[in-house]
Amino acid sequence: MSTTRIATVLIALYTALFLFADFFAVADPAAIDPSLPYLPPEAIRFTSSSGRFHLRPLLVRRNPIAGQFAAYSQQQPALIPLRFFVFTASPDDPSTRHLRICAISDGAAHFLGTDEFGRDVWSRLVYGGRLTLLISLSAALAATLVALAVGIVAGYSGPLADSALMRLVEACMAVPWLYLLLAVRALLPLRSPPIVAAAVCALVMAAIGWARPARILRGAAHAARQSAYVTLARATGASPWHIARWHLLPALAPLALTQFTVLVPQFIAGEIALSYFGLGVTEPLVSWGDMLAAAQHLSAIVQYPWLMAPIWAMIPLFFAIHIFADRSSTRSPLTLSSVTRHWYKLPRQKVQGESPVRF
Amino acid sequence: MKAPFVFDFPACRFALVLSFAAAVLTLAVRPSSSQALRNPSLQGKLGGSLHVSLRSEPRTLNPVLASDIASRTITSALNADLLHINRATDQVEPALAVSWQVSHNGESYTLHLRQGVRFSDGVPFTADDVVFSFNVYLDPRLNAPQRDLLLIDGEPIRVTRLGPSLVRFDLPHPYAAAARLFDGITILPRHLLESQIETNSLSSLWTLVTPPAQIAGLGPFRLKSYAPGQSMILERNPYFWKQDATGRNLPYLDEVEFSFVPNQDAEALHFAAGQVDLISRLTADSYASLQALPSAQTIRPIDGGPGLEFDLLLFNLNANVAARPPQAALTQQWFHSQAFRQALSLAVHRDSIVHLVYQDHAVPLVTPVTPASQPWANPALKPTEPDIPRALHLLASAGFSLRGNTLYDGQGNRVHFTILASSSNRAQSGIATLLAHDFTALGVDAQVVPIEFRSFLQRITQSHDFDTAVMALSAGDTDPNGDMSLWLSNGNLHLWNQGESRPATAWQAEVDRLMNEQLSVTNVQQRRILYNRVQTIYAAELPFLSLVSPHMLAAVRASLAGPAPTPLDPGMLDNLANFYWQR
Repeated sequence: MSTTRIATVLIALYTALFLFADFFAVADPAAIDPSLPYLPPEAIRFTSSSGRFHLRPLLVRRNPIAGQFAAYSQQQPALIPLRFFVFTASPDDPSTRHLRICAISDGAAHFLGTDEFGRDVWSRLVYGGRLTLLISLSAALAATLVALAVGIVAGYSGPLADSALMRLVEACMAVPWLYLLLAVRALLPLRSPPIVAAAVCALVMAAIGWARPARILRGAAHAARQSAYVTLARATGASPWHIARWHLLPALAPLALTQFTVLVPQFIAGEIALSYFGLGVTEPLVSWGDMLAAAQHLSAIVQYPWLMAPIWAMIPLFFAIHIFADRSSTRSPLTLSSVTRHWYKLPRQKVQGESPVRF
Repeated sequence: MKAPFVFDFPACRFALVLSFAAAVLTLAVRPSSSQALRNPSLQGKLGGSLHVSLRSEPRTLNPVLASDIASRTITSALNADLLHINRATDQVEPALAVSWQVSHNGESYTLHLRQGVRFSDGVPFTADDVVFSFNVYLDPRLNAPQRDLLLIDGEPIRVTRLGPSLVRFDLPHPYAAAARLFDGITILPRHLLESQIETNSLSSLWTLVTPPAQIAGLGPFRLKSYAPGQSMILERNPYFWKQDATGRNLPYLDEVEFSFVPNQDAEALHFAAGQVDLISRLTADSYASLQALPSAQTIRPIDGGPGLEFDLLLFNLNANVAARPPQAALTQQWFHSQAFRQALSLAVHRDSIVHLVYQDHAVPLVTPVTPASQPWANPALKPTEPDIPRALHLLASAGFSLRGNTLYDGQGNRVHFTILASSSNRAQSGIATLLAHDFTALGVDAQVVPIEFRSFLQRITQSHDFDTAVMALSAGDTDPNGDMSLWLSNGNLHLWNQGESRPATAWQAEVDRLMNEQLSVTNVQQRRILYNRVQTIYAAELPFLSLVSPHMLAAVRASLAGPAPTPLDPGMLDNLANFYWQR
């Protein structure tokens, strides 16, 4: 299987997982269970305690040792049959019921263990991934679009607009964002709903993130402007809009896509930093940034490595995004050669004789 | 970024502890180790050096100005006081003064100074140094932060030299536990500072760039070298005046090196790798993970029991909220209801906080008096068990009604408010999460708002723009006098309603009266009765909810003898002169 196909399958899997988070998550991500803090990931097996084969999977539940914190007995685990496609009610609000992929008779199976408050890590991973991807993808998209527009305008139009825009970019990069963020938090009312906080989080990251890609894209636009095909297009009287749309944009698209894929993981990390200032995603919503911020201590590495689950979930996802972006940029109809072909159509009718440029 | 943040109000000896990684001020309730090291028959071995990590660099070496943890830790090793509170017994003991007499009216203290004592540069110590030091602390022009400590009812203590080794202190009024005031008041070398203090401001004296030769003190160690950003090395003070039982001069150690490690995890790793011999103020997380590391057998973990620090849920009862949005007026209306506050208290599972946030290294509280000041705790008050039916009954009696899963007030408004917490403090944001969860049982929708520490502090102490907040406070002393600024309506840590010009409620007026009365009563039994009444009033009114008091957790190298946690400054290192290596 080619890497592109692997990437496509991975993207599809993640998309399905996040779209149907309510189904794939096995518990409410905010449901606290004081009796099961830091429960290690639970296994399933197909043999009963007497060794007989059991078609219905059995969840191996280790019992907490009384008097010790987060210690679970290795002897005689309870074997609880898993039930599939179960309707469960939220403990806090019985009116909302979700169809879950599986459950046990008195609660949820913890396939990826639990965190410090006994919340299910798998469910938090699924719900958190959905929000994180939503935030970072929309922020990256916004930042890339702004960067592309600024890059093309600065790279193609005259030196005045160019230097004005680039000074703006430099000013933006020089702003002490830390203090600005604190000011933003101070302006926001405390009582803003968590989803507003998440939207602000995306907005803030886009506002910070556009400057660097804009500089890179401006350089590429500048280079493209010097190229023979743009010179020719100008010579044939093509409008700036036409040149931007049909010559610069296609030439910059692969670079913009690369910038986009670089921004996404950056913004996921940025979300962790924003949580630190009280601008990120807050309870009861959950995000990967939140989860990783909570796992930023030695004991998470030494004793509770399953808290790092978002990292393991991120690696294949970023891999897939990179491959996907890479392939789609080279395969896209908007590549350099396709542009030149497109460009050929135009001058052929207008320019008589031999084309000055050969490809 | 992760330096401990003990925000200090030194004037009142009551510290607001809002740390980036839960700081713990430390106590002596571990007799096993502390007894052994304080037992004079047990003699230590001379030599060796000790590596201690500090979460931040000291800001100054001037003991008069030292207010952050790092500066105070280091200056306490370099200096000595006249009388010292024995951290193990919590009693005042002689230090540079060998004995003291109190006049019959309790207003005059006469101290006999130890003879033959020299500063670390070899210059003899006399009564002139004592008078000079107290003048530095008391001179209004110098503006020493601890000056307020030595003011009683706004009037300064008067210091008179009666002879080369005799000094008298006159208090304007009788003052309970006045001998405790001497602890931490450093005696400065007059010969080095007197000429400079005339021309320079206090803050330009003994800074980090002052050459070690120009700094002298009466403590067990003296400054050897300082590498900015890296470490500060102290060496044995050859003139130190304390001896062990066998007549050998203390301290045992040749050198103490303080290195600056900005975060707790790095500190724990340095410790595990053997580069650091002692860490205090551990969080429960790090305490557990240190024992899980491969080098665990060379480590002696110390659980010092509860300290003076405690976590609380603060209600915003401030009358002077800056720009009051309508919603704030509404939430304050709920918080002003005594039944509402009591009901919230009844919904809190303190045991869950102890178990989940502090991994069982904490105790549930009923008043701000932690077990570290046990003699002063009101024995009649017991921690409240969660009791939802009673809480709902209380709410119903105050006009609230539960419909479905939501609580409504008398005017039909849905009851919801925010819980502010410092985002960098895992323990406090964890507590906020658990509280919000507990309050759902009452139908109360509490939204946790983690926020960066500085804006947190700004909202609590200045703009008063918050509903409720989870925070930690720490008393500066085991004696109730250390809590004055919390209880008095005009105290600067009276956080639930700051800047009351006069008591806002009848019970507050009563608390003010009782606290002021106990201040001037010298009979301990009588003080206890007064302070018990303060606690009884608190437990009925609950202007803030006392939640839990975390234990003082520390870890030391197994072969290091001497360290014992204590709740008073500077924690374990108070006993530094008696530390020694067993092999």
